[in-house]
This record gives sequence, structure tokens and C-alpha cells, in this order.
Amino acid sequence: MAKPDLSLTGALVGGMAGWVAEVAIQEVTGHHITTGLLELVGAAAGLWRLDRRLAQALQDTLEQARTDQGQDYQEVKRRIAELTEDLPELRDILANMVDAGISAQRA
Amino acid sequence: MLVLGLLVRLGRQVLAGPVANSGVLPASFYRHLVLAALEEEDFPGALEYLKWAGDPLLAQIVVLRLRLLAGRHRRQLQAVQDLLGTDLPAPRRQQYQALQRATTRALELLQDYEARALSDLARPGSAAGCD
Repeated sequence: MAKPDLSLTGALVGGMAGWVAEVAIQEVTGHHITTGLLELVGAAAGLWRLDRRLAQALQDTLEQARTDQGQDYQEVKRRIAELTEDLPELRDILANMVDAGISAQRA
Repeated sequence: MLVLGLLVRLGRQVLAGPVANSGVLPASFYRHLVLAALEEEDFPGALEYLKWAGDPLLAQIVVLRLRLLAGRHRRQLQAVQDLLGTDLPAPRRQQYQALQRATTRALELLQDYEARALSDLARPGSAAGCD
């Protein structure tokens, strides 16, 4: 297999041209290439574990409610029910999570 | 080679910026963006992509998070108002008044965010993602 030909000058010129293009695109579109690329990479990495992240978001929400209301699960449950009167799906999920917490506390 | 590199860069830029912000990418992509923003408590960021996430549960989480945060601000505002009702030295009173103004402003913003999240939730088709 032939050894690949690497050119430092070519790399420098290419890098410089890329940078110029990046600045030009940024000026025209108002978007940062690097930020956008990082977003895409992050999104790709995050997509496959979306369900886990959603579960974590629910857990974090419950944790925030507990921080506000102390460690009493019944009080947390009452408060969540109050705040989610118009959010039925979330109310049921969180109520189940709190019930599981109560059961674990009793065990 | 250089032209190809530039074309690839341009393609990536178009995908990452204007395309992502036009709502044509899969709903799961936007769910990821909303969750990432929520993890950082960046509510304006979460609301930016919520309309394309097509996930009512996610919208409900955003609404509840906003309500919990607003509750904390209300308690803080009440505490500041109680303190302002007492006899305070002038510099301390000014500090509490500034805090009162900032907290009131934060509450207004949170209410605005909540209204936006609820409107996304009420929007027809918000339950249907385009995976």
C-alpha cells in the first residue's frame, strides 16, 4: 500500500480556507458552525438514550418537589397533585413514583 | 479537495443551524434538545424546541418544573416582603427592594414561559411526533 502523501502547506491552506468559510457563513447565516456541530454530535449521542433521559427528567422533577416540601412523601404527593391538576399524564406517573417511594420508605 | 471540504462544511452548517431551527428534523432530535435544556434549567431554550418535540409528557414536565420554580420564587418574595415590613437600616432596605424587584421580574418571566409551554401543549398535533 502506498504511503499517503501529507502536505503541511496544504493542511495550512485548507485550514485557513475553512476558517475563512466558517467566518463568512457565520456572517451570512448568523450561526456558529462549531456550536452547531457540537449540538449535532450531542444530539446523536443523546438520541439513543432518550428514554433514560426522560426517566431522569421525571426523577429530577420529583426530587425538586421533595426539596421544596421536605422529605414527607404524602406532602409531596399532595403538592404534586395540586400543581398537576391540568397535567393528567404527568400526575399519574409522578403519583406512581411517589407511591413507590412511600412503599420503599415503609419497607 | 478544498472545494469538497468547503461543501461538507457548508452542508453541516446548514443542517446544524437553519435546518434544526426550522423544525424539519425528527421529533426525537428535538426531544433531546428539550431534555438537554431542561437539565441546565434553560427554560427559554427548552421552549424553543418544545413545539417540535411532539411529546405532551415532556411539555407537562416543563410546565411542572416552571411551577415548582415559580413556587420557590413566591416563597422568597414573601420572605423579602416580610423583611421589608420590619425596621431596617436604609442600605439593607435598598438591597431587599432590589431583590424584590428582581424576584417579581423572574416570576413574570416564569409565568410567561408557563403560558408558552401550555399553549404548546394545547396545540393540535402536539401529541404526534414525526419519528
